Amino acid sequence: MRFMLLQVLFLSAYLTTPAAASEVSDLLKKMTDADERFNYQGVLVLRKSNNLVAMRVEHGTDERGVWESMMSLNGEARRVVRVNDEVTSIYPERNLLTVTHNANKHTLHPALPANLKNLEAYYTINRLKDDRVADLAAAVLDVVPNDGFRYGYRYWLDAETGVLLRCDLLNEKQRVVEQMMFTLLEYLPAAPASAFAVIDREGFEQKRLDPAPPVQPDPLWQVSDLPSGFMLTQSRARQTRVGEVWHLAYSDGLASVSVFIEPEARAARREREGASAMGALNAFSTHVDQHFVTVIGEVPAKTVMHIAQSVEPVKAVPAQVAPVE
Amino acid sequence: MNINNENQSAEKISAYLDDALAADELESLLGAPASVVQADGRFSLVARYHLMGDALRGELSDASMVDVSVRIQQALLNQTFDEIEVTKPVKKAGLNNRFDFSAWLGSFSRPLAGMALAASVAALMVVTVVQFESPEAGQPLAASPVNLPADTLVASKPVDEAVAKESQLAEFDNYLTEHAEFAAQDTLQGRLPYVRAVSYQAE
Repeated sequence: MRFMLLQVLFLSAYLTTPAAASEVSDLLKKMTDADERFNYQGVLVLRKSNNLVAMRVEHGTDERGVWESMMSLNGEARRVVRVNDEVTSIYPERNLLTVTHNANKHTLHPALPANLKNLEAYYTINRLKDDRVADLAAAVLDVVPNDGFRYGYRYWLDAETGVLLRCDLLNEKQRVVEQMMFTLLEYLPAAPASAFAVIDREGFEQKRLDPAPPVQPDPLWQVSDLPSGFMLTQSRARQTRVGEVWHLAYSDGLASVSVFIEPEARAARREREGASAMGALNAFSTHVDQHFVTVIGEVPAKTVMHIAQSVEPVKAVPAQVAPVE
Repeated sequence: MNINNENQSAEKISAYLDDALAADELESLLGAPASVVQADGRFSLVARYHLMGDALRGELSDASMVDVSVRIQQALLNQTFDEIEVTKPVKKAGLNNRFDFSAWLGSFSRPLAGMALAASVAALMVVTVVQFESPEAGQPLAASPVNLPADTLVASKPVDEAVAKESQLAEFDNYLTEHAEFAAQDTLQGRLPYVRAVSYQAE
């Protein structure tokens, strides 16, 4: 009896204290590596606010690289196909097909496992009791933010493969604001037969959406009071008739925030000022120095507002300076 | 507005006064700024109804008159706006190797309603023309409104509300997609940002 009590106490402590760094690191690495290791197909659902979307997912990897197809099972049968760095979106109702590449966009953010130390500065990661998702045994990681500037995450990883089976986003009140979950997942011995197949473009209007190269290497804008842990990961500018539209991307390794800055040229945009939300996504728009600033991210409302209100043009020093850790 | 439409509006106004108008009909009755000024230059029945109502309630202030003038201006601007739509072929001619911001916007726009979408396409065409005439890289960020060409001014006019809203939605969708694209690279979550992007499109 005493032994059993000790076992319970040990288990409780294990479940409520931060998991060993190596264990967390292993699980997270397993999750990121799974993309290039396994072939599978299944159905997942995404729930946010009052909206529920089901998607069919097919994933394949071989010597040709990584291929993935996601098709909405609700409404229009929209489909996104990723082949390595190329993303093709298909809109059957509009006979429209768009293609974009990510090859020339390199993130500045350090990859795992070096990034884990940064993550641990802003999140506490706990291993929770194992669970079961889509009829598969799942290891559960609870990623709790240490401040109010980011959401919490709860990951259910396939205990064997590391494939992300379920992900919950939790707000500061521990309420789930977004849920993604596989309801059915079937591993395949090889990439699906349709993987890497040339997409039938017959009858589709095709558009290549690759943006023009950045017109300015250093951002002309900065966020003067960035919440701790977030750092500039990418920046680019697009030239338009009324001036440059800047996109600055910030990340803390888990949460991402985009800042868009455009010339204040259209009166209609005044109506967009303020906060808006869509599931886990929050947005805040405001005017800064004759420009219109829109901040978007899967972070709490106060974070996008804080960032939007801290946007300012770079004056003395042209280069963006990342906050000192 | 032809006679049949006017009769229908009259019936709707009557139903409205009897508090027997369905919500969607009320919306269609009151939310028709394009019909404020008719082709013959007269105010439409709806506009006259609003004006009479304001007068009967003693609310016909200077502000009301300003509002009316704004509506007239809006109707005139809409007319100019429609003319600009003729520039559509210009877009086709130059699509080859350039990033087509308007197409990008259009590809992620959500069709709120047939009319709104058609109007949105027109709005996007205007933006496209703006892009093709874009002359200078490295132009100062604070663009001077004084020298803006006519087509840019069209884009900045208080055009039909549905057009403006649809255009804003399309632009917001564009931002969402760009955000998803970056988020997929920056976070551990790989697929999630794309899942979100598909779901935004599916809503």
